[in-house]
Amino acid sequence: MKENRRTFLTWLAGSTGALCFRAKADDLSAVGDFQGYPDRVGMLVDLSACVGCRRCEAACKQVNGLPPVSVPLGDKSVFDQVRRTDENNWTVVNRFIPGPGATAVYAKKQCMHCNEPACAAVCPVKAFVKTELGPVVYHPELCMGCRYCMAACPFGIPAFEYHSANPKVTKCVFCNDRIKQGLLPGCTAACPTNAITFGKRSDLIRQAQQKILQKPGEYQDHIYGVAEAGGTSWMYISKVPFDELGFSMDLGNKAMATYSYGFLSMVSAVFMVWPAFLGGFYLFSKSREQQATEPTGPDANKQGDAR
Amino acid sequence: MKRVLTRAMISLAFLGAMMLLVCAQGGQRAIASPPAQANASPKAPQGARCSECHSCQNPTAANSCLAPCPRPMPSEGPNVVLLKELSKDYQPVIFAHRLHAQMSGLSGGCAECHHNNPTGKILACSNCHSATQAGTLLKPNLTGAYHRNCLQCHREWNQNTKCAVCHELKTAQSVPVSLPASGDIMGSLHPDVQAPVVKMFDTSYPMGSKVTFPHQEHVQRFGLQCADCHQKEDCGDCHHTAETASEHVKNLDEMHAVCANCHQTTGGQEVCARCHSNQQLPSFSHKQVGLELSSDHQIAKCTDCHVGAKYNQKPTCKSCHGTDVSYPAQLPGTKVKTP
Repeated sequence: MKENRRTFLTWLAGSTGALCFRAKADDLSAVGDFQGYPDRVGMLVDLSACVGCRRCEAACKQVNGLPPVSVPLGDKSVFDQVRRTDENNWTVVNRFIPGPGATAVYAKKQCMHCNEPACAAVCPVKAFVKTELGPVVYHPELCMGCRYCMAACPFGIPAFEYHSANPKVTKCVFCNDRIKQGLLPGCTAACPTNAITFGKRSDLIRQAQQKILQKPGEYQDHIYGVAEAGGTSWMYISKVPFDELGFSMDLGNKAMATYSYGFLSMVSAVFMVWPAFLGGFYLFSKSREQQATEPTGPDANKQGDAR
Repeated sequence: MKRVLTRAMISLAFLGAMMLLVCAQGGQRAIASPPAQANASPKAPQGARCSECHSCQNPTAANSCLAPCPRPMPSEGPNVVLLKELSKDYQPVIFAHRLHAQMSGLSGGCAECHHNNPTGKILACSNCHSATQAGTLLKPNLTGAYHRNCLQCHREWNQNTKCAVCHELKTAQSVPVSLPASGDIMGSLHPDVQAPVVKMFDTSYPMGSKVTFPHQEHVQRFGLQCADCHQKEDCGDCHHTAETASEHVKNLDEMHAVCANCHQTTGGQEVCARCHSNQQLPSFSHKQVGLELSSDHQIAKCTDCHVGAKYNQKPTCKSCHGTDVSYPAQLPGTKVKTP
């Protein structure tokens, strides 16, 4: 009996510790070192070329089977307020006027398709998956509607079909099906000024660097999305500072998921090792107490002999 | 055996002779080419005039004074260009080229559209920008290139004008578009800008809030071109659009920048008072800049001394006084301290 309990406790502590150590050593550090698939695709937006025609919005709705634009293209009253993405608008164009008298700058907003997406990291059912090609795709059949992704996204992109009986989370899917067929994403194909460029992410970064260097001082010396939140597939260059165009500049350069690694690696220890250890200690001390209070007698002697 | 050997020798000799000939020709060609280039500088295209590229008389390596590419004057370019790429479904886009070229001096010049164009032949946009392939950031496709050039300035499109303002849909009733006659408004130059004679500025300077700017005098007397002062201006500066109409408040340096190109604008109240006054100042007077003309000189015409209305050159006294008097050894009045 005594032998059994000790063996059990030793085994439990040892194996749990080993499990924790193994998980930390292998899986998590491997995620940290992974630089992403080298051939993954991306998008590059030259904000100075965007004229705010919103044809990308209309094209996005068309190729993804969403209801048509509610405010007609060309009706500039739509820019009176800064909009966010919702279940029927997976991309929105907003207008920003940087300073009095300055020319308006338009900025397209959609899922950034992070290198290491927070939405995929928090999803308990793996409904969001970062694909090898680059897009962060959504599996509605898996989604259970917990909306952790909405809380986790640093860009505030995923939207929820609140009015639906069977609600799903919605966001830009990078026209994953189209690019696999060799077609351009809907918005890119529709852009009349070619402000959006589709291509291999590494190529796009090189192009953006070249563009910035071509005319020094004209563009901001910053490619938004190369490092933000651990890097994103969508990247932007601009002639106007990004913080004046509604871009978050306080996201840091680490993927959102990395912030929780330290905590999550402790979860198994806290919720498995400690309860087992404390439970064992409790049982042990309880049996000692029981032993101390029990009257000595033939039974007790018998127990003592057994020990 | 001997015959075979002789034949072989003959053929070898023939081959050798041929090779020598070819070498000699090659050599001749190699020698012949430099003298043809020796007349012109190595980079200049054949038969080019220096003045075609250089705007000054003696260009140097340090100061090449190259005129921006492409070189022809706006008046040499076509009046109207029809863009027919979408002619299957749409009427051609009528682009008033000369009108744009003429006003382009106020912004980036010809190179605003004709960028990366070497001297000589004007290249079509489609020479570089593909109409069929997807564009890149560095080289947008043809659609992108056209729209960027037009829409960067023409931002006034809206719900009513839509795309049809340029792209008129082709229907059965459509009349084929041809280049308009020279009298047509589309082909004409920018309507004459009514330059003000005098422009008054209301300023916040307490010692003298009014600044008189004799605009006409600056243009006519001192021969200034529009672009000498109106630099980096946009069509939107005159043709207000809703997006650009809001007033930008200039700071002190920005406000004085244009005048400061030629005039001193700093140095205490005395300097400020040259322009800032409480009433409208008369147009140019010598008194204002330091010389009070004597009565007999006051009746002389400006051009009597400023021959050929060249006001930026030294005036002459010869027209009345012969060679015995000259300026500034003898002044046509008394010197005054500038107010």
